[in-house]
Amino acid sequence: MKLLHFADLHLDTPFAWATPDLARNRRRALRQTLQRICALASEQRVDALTCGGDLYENERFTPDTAAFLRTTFAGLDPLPVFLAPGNHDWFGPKSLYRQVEWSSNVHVFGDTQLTPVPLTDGFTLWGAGHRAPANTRGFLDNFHVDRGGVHVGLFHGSEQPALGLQEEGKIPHAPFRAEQVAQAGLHHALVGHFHTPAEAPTHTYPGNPDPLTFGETGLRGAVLLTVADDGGVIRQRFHVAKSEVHDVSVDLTGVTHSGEVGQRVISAINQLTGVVRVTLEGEVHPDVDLRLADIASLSPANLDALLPRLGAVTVAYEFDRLKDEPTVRGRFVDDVMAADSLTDEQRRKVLVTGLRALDGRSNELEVQ
Amino acid sequence: MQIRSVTAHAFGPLRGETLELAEGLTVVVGENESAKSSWHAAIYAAVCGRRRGKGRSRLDEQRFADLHRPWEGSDWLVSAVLELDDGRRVEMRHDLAGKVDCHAKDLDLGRDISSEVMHDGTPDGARWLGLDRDSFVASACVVQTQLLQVLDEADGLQEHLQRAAATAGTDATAATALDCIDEFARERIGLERANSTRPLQRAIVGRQRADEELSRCRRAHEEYLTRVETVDELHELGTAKVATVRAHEASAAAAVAEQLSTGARRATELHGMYGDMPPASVADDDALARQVAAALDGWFSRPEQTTTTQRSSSQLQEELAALPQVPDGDTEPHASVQKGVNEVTRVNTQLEQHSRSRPSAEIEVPQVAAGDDELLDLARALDVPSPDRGSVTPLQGMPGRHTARHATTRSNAVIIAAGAALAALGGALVAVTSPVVSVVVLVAGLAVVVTGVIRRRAVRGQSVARDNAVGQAHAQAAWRRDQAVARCAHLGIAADPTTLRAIPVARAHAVGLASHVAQWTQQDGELRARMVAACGELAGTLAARGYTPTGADRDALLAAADWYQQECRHRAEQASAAARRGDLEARLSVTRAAEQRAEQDEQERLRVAAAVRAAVGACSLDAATDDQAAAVLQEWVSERETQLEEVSQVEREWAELRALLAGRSLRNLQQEASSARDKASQLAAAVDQTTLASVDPSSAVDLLPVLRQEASLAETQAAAARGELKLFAGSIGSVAEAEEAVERAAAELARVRELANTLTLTRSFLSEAQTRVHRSIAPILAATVKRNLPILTGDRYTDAIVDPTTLEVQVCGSSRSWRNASRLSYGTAEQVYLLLRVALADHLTHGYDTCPLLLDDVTVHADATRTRKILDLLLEVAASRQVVLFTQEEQVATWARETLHSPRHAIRELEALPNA
Repeated sequence: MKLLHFADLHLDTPFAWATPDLARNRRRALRQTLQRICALASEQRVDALTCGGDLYENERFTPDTAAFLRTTFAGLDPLPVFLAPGNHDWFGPKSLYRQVEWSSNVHVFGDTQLTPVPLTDGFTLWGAGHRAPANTRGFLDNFHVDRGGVHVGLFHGSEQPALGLQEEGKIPHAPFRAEQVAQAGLHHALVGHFHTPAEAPTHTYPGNPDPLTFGETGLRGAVLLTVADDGGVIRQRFHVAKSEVHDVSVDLTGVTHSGEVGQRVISAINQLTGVVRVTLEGEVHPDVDLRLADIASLSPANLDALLPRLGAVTVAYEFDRLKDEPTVRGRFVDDVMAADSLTDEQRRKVLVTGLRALDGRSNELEVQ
Repeated sequence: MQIRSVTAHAFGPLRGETLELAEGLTVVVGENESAKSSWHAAIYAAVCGRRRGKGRSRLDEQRFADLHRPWEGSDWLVSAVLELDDGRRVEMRHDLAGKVDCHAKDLDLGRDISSEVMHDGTPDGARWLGLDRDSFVASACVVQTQLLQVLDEADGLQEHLQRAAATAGTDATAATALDCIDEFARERIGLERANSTRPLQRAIVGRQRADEELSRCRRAHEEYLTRVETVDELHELGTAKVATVRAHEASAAAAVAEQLSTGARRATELHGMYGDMPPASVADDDALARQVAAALDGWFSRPEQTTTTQRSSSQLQEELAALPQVPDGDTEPHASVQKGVNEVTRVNTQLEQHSRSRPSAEIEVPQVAAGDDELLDLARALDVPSPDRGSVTPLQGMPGRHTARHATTRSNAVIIAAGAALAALGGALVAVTSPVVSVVVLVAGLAVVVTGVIRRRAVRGQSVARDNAVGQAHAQAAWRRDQAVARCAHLGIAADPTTLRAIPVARAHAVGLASHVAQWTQQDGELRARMVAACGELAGTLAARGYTPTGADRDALLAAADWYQQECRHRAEQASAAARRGDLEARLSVTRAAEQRAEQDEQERLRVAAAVRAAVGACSLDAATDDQAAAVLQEWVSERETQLEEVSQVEREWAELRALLAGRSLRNLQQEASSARDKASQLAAAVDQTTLASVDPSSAVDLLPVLRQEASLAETQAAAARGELKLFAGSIGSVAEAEEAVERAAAELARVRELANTLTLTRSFLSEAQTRVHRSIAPILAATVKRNLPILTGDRYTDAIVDPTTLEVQVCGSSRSWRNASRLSYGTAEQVYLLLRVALADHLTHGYDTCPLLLDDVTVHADATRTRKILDLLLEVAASRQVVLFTQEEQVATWARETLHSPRHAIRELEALPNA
């Protein structure tokens, strides 16, 4: 039995960090990623395609998305497609899942109880879905399969690790413990919710197949599971993302003018494609007018977008020397450096702003 | 710090030349083109070097390079020997071109001490002064142009002081920086005001609009979802309606199929019985049947035989003939007669009663010459007993009192006896109970005995007093009795109280009897008059009724009245009998009609019986009586109806067969039924069985039109809603994009607010720093000026103040009239400026080495007097610090030659450079 599993695509999600055009492109890329997944399913001649929830976002999906999903999955017919609604695409009265007239090969698990679908003689897929955006109990609580054969579960839930580690920023939904999978009589669980990929002995998190933000680690995408007659699984990961997202740090230490900043950034990203977020770090000369918009405009043709941001950037003022100056400048630096009411970020900005004002750099007073 | 020598290895036009400088004032004299400015710059470069930062040079650096880079060769090298205040001799060497061969070396120890003063990549000797190469220029180097600026601009001095106070003169003043911040805030932030077009207001409006757009998108999305739900509901409703129609159609088809199948089965059955030929008709004996039916109808509807128990018409006629005629006269006594009889009878009764109340005989009254009152007084006096019977004691005369006294005496005796018994009981109790109780009882008994004795004595005293008073009253009564006896005797009547009292009574009775007799007599007369009147009235009344009495007395009248009343009763009975005539005549009419109908009925009965007999004969039947004939005919009719029913059944079934086939052949009918069953099965298979089961087959066909209309309407509504949804879907916008727009707007607003906050904080710190620095510098500047001002101005100005807010310098003389230093004469202003420069240099290098002064042609525009004063001031300054003055003026050179004899000072004369 071959199953292609994915989850957490988050169609129609917003990209707050992106420009309007880029955000639209990113959402378009999510759709293209789903098409890639479907193409992969056909190519691998799998027995079923499974989605572990958060296929789309209920509060944001567009009518066009509904049509897109219906058409895309109908294109796989007769390959079965099993969809287990998650907390973002919960199966409610106004759910997209309800309004789409799915083709006959699509099955949506709209019940909070795991319900069986025999795929072959002796192989049963058990699926369940969220019916609310929160407070969904664990699907494996008080559950046990009621028949023989090989059993695989499909749902959107939070695996509760024994050590209490949890993916940062994720609220636990439909929690379960790894040992509950076997206790329920399931040989494996195909799950979604955590965006970080995980291949545990009892379950598989494929991770979000297309990048949703920066800094995502691990090979995320679709997982091809080959389930043996004894319930054992062999997993193979496929990169299906349409988008490329890179996080790059650029050290500006020693640069003396803005042109040099651009050169360093370009040299750091010239081999990359997709969307690159550049984090600027290091100590720059006080004369350097560092403007993120100027850096963003340097985006080469090989990139979809260049998103610069300031990291640990400092200005090479000799504050320790300046503060001893018996001048207004010295007094200013000394007072600002000694001010407890300021955060380090505020202190940096106030110092640079003041010194630039004293330098007469009247157009460079906005410090980033 | 002192600059002992400077060597221009390669600097501008200079190559391999050294300039030695004195520790006090060194006047470097040279004509134009003698490289004075180059030496001035070389000294600065040898002490401070050049920045070795990456990137392009600043404008001032580039200008410096353009002016002083050697005209030939690539080397650009200077060095200097410095002597620091701590005694160290240091060599400063600067490769100004490559900036590599740069160092600060301790000449005594031979160590590189560049790190002590490293600044921007190269050693900077100004750091020993607490300055850097930029602020050294501003603080220690004075050029002609600066002096001119101070002199030419009204607030030049003040502005210079502010610059020095702010940044050691390298950059803008603090006020300019604050203005710069304010201007930047105005342009890049602006006010949070509705009509503002600046970034802050734009960001606020942008955020509001983004929020509104997001709300709109979310509402539209929610509306979209709701509409989707509505469309789904309408679609489901339409589907359900269609399903209902399909179910009803299936049910109707099943009913039709069942009907056809039943018809086909029935037709098959009938066809098997009758085939294709119609059955024979049975109607040959219809005439006989009609005769029999008519005979039986007549028989059963014949009239009943009538039997009457009432009187016949002849009897009634006889009774009519015997009835009397209606009598004349009163059939009831007339009211007037009855009234007269009643009056006579009542008056007669009253007379009889009055006669019985006639008064009795007269009463005899004794004749006594005394009034009734006197007779009664005598009787009362005689009621007292005679004294000669006075052996009776007063008490005996008063038995009640005696009895009371006796009872009192007896009760007292009882009390005494009870007390004695109680005392005895007390004595007896000594033996059986406690002494206290017995003593108490004994004392109580004695107390009771004493009480009884006292009471008896009191009663005896009271009896004696009362007996005396009674004796006196009896003596007086006896005297009055004696007087009464004597009076009776005088009157001639018995001295008896009863007799005396009877005389007034008799007198009263006699008077009453006389009055009663008179009254009775009057009433008797009146009654007799009324009797006479009543009799007259009755006689008149009877006469009016035609009865004349035989006499006028009461009895005759009453007899006549009685006769009249009997006559009335007789006539009443006669009238009553005569009154029955009308009723009997009506009854006679009815009886005669009934007797006529009975006659007719009998004739009908005979006719019907004859018809029945005739029918029996026609049917060839026999019957002994008419009733039997009718019964025989009934049996005949019953048998015939049975035969007719059988024939009718056949005809009906034949007609049924014809109707079932309806022109078709049996085979066609069977095929049609089969087709209907197939269709019904197909329709039933296509619908939900539960829905189908809920349909009433009997009403399915009737309901179908309405259901089809409802289904069509529901589908139309669903289609319309779906169309509207499609249109609406195109206008809802993207929630994700709206959220992103909000994020961007929020980020922009946060950026502007953050910038505003940063500028506000910067301004606050900067303003505060300015205030504090000015307050610390002002007194230093004022003290310096005050110390030297009298010398410089020949006591014309003796005092100076510096405004700590603006660093404005004012001076005054003995008149205490304050003047702005910038508005003094050129010479005075120059000297004040130089003093302030020295003071500022001291202030800025406070805590570090003494800062030398490098002056370039600062007297070039001064007249001889002013030049002399400046030189004198510089000599004064040179007493405490190294001063290097470059000049081309002969006056200065002359002054130097004449004045600078001390080894602390020196004159260096430059020769003109050879032409290039």
